[in-house]
Formats: sequence, C-alpha cells, structure tokens
Amino acid sequence: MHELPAIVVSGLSVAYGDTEVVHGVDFSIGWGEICGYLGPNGAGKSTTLRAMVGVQPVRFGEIRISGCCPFTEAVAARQQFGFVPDTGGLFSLLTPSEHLAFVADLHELPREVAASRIEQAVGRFGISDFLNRRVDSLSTGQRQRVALACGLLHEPRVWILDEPMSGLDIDGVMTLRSLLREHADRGGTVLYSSHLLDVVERLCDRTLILAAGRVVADAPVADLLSLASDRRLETICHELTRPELGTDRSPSF
Amino acid sequence: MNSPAPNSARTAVPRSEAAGDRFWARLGVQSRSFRALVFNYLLIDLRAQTYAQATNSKPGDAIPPLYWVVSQFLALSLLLCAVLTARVPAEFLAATHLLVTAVMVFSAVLVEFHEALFSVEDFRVLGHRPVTDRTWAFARLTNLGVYIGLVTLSLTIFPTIVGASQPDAAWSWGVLYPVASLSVAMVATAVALLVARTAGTPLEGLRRIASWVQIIGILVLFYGGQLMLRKGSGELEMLASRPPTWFGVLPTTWLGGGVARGASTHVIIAALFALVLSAMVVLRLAASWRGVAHVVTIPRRVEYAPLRIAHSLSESLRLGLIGDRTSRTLAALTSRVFARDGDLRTRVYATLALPVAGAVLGVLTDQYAAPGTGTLGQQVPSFAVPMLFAVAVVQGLIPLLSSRDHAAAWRLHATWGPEARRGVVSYLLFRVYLPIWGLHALLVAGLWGDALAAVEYAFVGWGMVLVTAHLAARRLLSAPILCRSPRLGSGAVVHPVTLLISSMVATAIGALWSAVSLMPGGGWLLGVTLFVGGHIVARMR
Repeated sequence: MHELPAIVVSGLSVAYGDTEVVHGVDFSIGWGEICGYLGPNGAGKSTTLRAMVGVQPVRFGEIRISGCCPFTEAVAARQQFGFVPDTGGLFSLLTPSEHLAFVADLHELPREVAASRIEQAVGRFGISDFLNRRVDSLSTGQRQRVALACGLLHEPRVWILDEPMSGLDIDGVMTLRSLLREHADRGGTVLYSSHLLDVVERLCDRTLILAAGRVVADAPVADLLSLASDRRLETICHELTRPELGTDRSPSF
Repeated sequence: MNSPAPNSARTAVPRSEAAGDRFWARLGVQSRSFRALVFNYLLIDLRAQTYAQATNSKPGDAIPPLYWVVSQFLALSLLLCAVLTARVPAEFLAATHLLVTAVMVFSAVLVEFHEALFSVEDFRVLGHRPVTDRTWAFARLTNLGVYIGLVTLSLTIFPTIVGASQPDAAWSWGVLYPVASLSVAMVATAVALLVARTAGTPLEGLRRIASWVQIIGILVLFYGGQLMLRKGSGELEMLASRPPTWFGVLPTTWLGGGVARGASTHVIIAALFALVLSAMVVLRLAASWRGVAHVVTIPRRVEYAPLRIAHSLSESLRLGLIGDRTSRTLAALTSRVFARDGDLRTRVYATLALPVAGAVLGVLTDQYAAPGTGTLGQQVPSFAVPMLFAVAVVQGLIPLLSSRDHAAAWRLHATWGPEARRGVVSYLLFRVYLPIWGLHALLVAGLWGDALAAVEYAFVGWGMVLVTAHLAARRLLSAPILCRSPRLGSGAVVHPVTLLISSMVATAIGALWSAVSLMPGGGWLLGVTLFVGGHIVARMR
C-alpha cells in the first residue's frame, strides 16, 4: 500500500553549538516494524529522536516520516507520528484530564471522537485514578502513563518513543508491550529507545545501535543474537559500544 | 503490509465558529489549537507557576504573579496620585504617570511575564505537536496581551479618575488618558519583545537588570513619595514647574502634555504608532517563533571550576570564613550556589531594600543621629535601621532553603547539623551582609563626624544581627538547604512566624540598646554581650 518507508533518516548530523553529537546517521524503517533504538548514555539517541520530530534543529541530512519532512511540512508530518519524549512532555500544572483534552484540540479531533478516544486511553493506560490530579503531584510511572496516553491519543501510524518504559511498573510494561505489538500487527511502525534489552530482545523485529553519534549496528534482532556466543543482546551491545573503540566507527552490521 | 487507516478526522468545525475560523485562517492561525493554547496558558498562569518557580515556594502557598503584580501596581499608582494630585500641574501629573507606566510595563514583560513568551516547558511539551509557528506565537502573544491589559488597567484606573478632577485638566482627560496609557503600554511591550527577540540567550542578564529597575523604581516611588508627603516644603512644586531637561524630551512628557491640554491629535498619533509598532513586532515574532523560542530556551552547556573549600587558616581568612571542616564545606557550597543562581542573589539582595530605604529617609529628613545624642525622634532611624537590617538577614535566609541546585541536597542529609547550618549562615552573614554593613558604618562615620561613635554603632548593630540571624537559622534551617521545593506541610507558617519572632527579638534588643546608650560604655557592653550570645546560639544543638 505504501511505497515509501515509514521513517527515512539520511545523513543526519546534529550539533549543539560547535559540537557535533550525531554524525551522518542513516536508516529507514518499514511499515509494520518495531525497531529498538539502543546505545549507551550520551550516544545521541534522544537527540536523533528529537530531530526526527522537528524539535531539534539539524545541521545536515534529511528526515521523512510517512513521506513528510518534519521541518518543511511540519504540521502534516506531526499528524503522522506520535512522540513521547524522555522528559515526559507534560505541563506540570495541568491535570491528565486537561492534557488529554488539550492534545485532542491540538490534533483537531472531532469532539465525539476525542471523547471516546480519551475514555479509551484512560482505560488502556490506567490513569482513571489520578485523572484530575495535577501532574506535579504524580509519580514518575503515573506521569509516563499520562505521557503515553497523550502521545498516542490521535492514533498516529508512526510511534516514536524515547524510553517509554522508564518508570512503568510491571503491569504498565506488559500493557505497553502488547500495545506495541498490536500496533505493528495492524501495520503501524514503532521506533523506540530503551535500555531494557530483554524487552527489546523479545519485542523488536529489528535493532539500531548507536554509539558516539554513529550507527554501529542495524540488523534484525535474530541476526544480532546469532553473533553473540551467549545469544544475548546485551553482550552484542556492550561489544559494539565500548568507549575504547573511539569515535571513528563504521557500521559493523 | 497494510498500514492502519490514516487519521481521518481533522474535522469539520461547528458553524458558529466558522466565521471566526475563517478570520484566523487568513492569518495562518489554526483556530481550535489557538483557543486551546490560550485557555491552557491562562489556566497554567493562574495556577501560580511563575511566582512559585521564582520564589521556590509551593504553588498552593504562593500568590499568583498576576494578582501580585496587579495589586502592587495599583498601590503604586494610588501612591503616586496621592503625592502628585493638587500639587503639580495636570501636564506633569500625566507625564509622570505615563513614564511610570512605560517603565513598569517594560520591566514586567521582561521579568514577570517572561515565561508567558518563551518557556522551556512549552517547547518540550508542544514542540512536536501539529501547531503552526504562527498559531503558537499568536497564542503566546494573546496570553501576554491579557496580562498587559490587566497591568495597564491597574496603572491607569487611579490617574484617570484623579486626573479628571484636576482643575487645569481638559474635560477630555477621562477619555484621552486611558488611550494614552494603553498606547504607552503597547509601545513598552513591543520594545521589550524586540529586546527579548534580539537578546537571545543573554536574556537572563537582561531580566535581572529589568528586575532591579523594577525594585529600585518601586522603592523610589514608595519612599520618595512618602518623603515628599512628609517634607511638604514646596520642592515637588518646584520640580514640577522646572522639570529636568531629560524629562522634557521624553515622548511620555509630550503625550502627557497633549492629554492635559485635551489635544487629541497627540493621543491619536501615539495610538496609531503603538498599533503599527505592535503589529509589526507581532508579525515579526510570529514569522520566526520556533527559531526564537529555540534560541531563547536552549540549555547552555556550562562548566564550573572545582568547589573551593578552605583547607588552611590563611585560606579561610582569605575566603573570609573560619570554622570547622563541615561549616567551611557548607559555606563553600553556599557560595557556589550563590554564584550560580542569579535569582537567588536577586532575592537575597532585595531584602536590603527596607533598611536602605530607612537609612536614606532618615538622612534626608535629618533624623539619623548617633545613639545617645539628639532627641528621641532624631534617634529613631538609627535604632530602626539595624533592626530592619537584622530582619533583612533573616529574610535573606529564606531563599536559601531551596535552590536550582537541589540535586545536591541528598548529600547534605547525612551530614546536616549545627556545623552545617553555621556554615550556611556564616557565608550569608560574612560574605554578603557584612560588607554592606561595613559600608553603611563608613557612611555613618562621615555623616556624624565621629568615627568612634560609628564603630560602636556598627559593632552593636552587628551583634544584634548575629543573635537574630542565628536564632532564626535554628528554626528555618532545620532541614538541609538546596531542596527543589521546600515541603513545609503543616509548617507552612514557619516563615512568617520566624520573621515575626525575629522582628520581636530585634525590637527587644533595640529597646535595650536605646536604654543603655545613655550609660557610659553601655553600647560597648551590649555589643560584647550580643557577640557572645550570637556565638552561643550558633553552637547550640
């Protein structure tokens, strides 16, 4: 149905001031894929994701999400994806209920559709107990549930999630895992960064590993696992992202 | 592979909203997003975010910034009216009020309502939402416009009523003055926005300057106004009849003259200029909103030199801090926090406003005499100033309860005790307040022409400060400093009660000082007693 991949990132370079932190990253993700985005702290994962959603200015490169550029076709592109930033992306003085209504308005959902989706999201992410409490009084896990509900309320086709499972309890992680799988089964695309490698191992179709601002691996999970003697993703990740390998890296896979 | 159905509902708008929507669409604004943004921005602002952040108090405990600023400006314009009405010509009255409006609105835009323009939180939450830059910009500027409207109203209402009753004011004052005031406020806002737009990241420094302009301006008006009312010797009338040259060339003076004489042309020109300038600034900002917001809100990478803790006696003396290792460490930590956190510095130094104003008023009214000399009335400021200074130091302790560097707080929980508390208080006393008190002593020595009396005065006054500050610190600094937001719970009244007790202690010492100042050597004896008392209180567990 779609000729273009869901996500195309080509030659992406991002800098903070004079310091370039992401160097010529290339990858594309097809429809129906769940792609884990891995790498050590400071590798440039969040920066890349923020650049992809048009929040972080880029130095060079091209980004297409569902065929749209998040910078030149900002509104169209932002309707295509749902983004959950690592910082939560919530106003601390609004309640979850106010946030959901706010997001529905920003995405211009019809009132009746918005009402039913909000109800659905409240149930799905288990936020009914604290729906009318201000965000600054919620725990980290509760905030993460609200952030996920807000990020996905408009039912986008492409989900871009920055450490979506951080702070979630077991129940929350299980719910999110099943949601990700259901979304991919319906043909949607998920790109999510995580440090929970066992979840990535079981859930993802494919893994991108970033180290020092460069992609050092881009392969199906099964292929990566076959390279490790103990068939564990953390062994592979550790090997590929060791600091002693330096910054002059090229993709190994 | 099949993709899920595209999000089909970017939906039809209700008919009642269609006309308005078409208007916004022509401006490139998404009407529904615009309404949602404006509504939620106002909701957030009314929940006291800015004031709570600025003061590190809990939002629930704080007065929302809007109410605070509006009531402050209402009081200010009322005082100005009380001072000027029936004493100066209507032209001078209008020009002064318009000038105050311009300065206060300009600084308010940069200081209080900065977050209504460029908020880091805003960018993180909304940066990836399908909102056009123009929609975002118009919503933020509307949000700002509401505040400016209310602030302008608070600065305009009294001069409009009072000025209309001036015998030499034109009959049209009641109409022309509000229009002129609104025009001045619009121009001041537009200029402040341009400054914010041009300044980019150094805006923090500008905000600090603007906040000082505001503090000093309010002090000058409050205390200068009181002084004018008390002196009543015709100086104000003289000033109004022969204003300084710089005052004469100000656009507000030209406009004020127009208002007073009923020259509507002046007001129409000003209103048109304000409209054109505002529209230009709004469109210019809207065209590059995301870029500006990003530049202004982008976090800067800052690196600090290692923390300096005095290890030897000479180093301690050089840093001005002596004590055991824990107190020296905490003093060094407080010094670092103080150096990094400009808001904290502003809040601490602002506590000096009252004693400084007291001293200036005392000098200007010839009532600042050495203790034990002159009449009791002449000695009132000389006892009041140290008392006010002591309470100011206690007020200066309150901002130290929390800081931006709250992440370090956990380190202090393990070591917190009297030594740590002493370190914090010592830094504030000896590195922040003592130099100012010393400067004050030098000025007093010059004023009185008696160095020994000034030294005795400074010595006893500092003893009062030591006792009061250490007593207050025992109550205030019972928990480590540097918490993000002090969780006071049922102890939310700690600050006012501590301030009240501190004021009572300072008053009691002041009364005792007044009594012993007539005895030979009484002041020196009291000073030594206070120093020993302060030392004991500081070391009590």
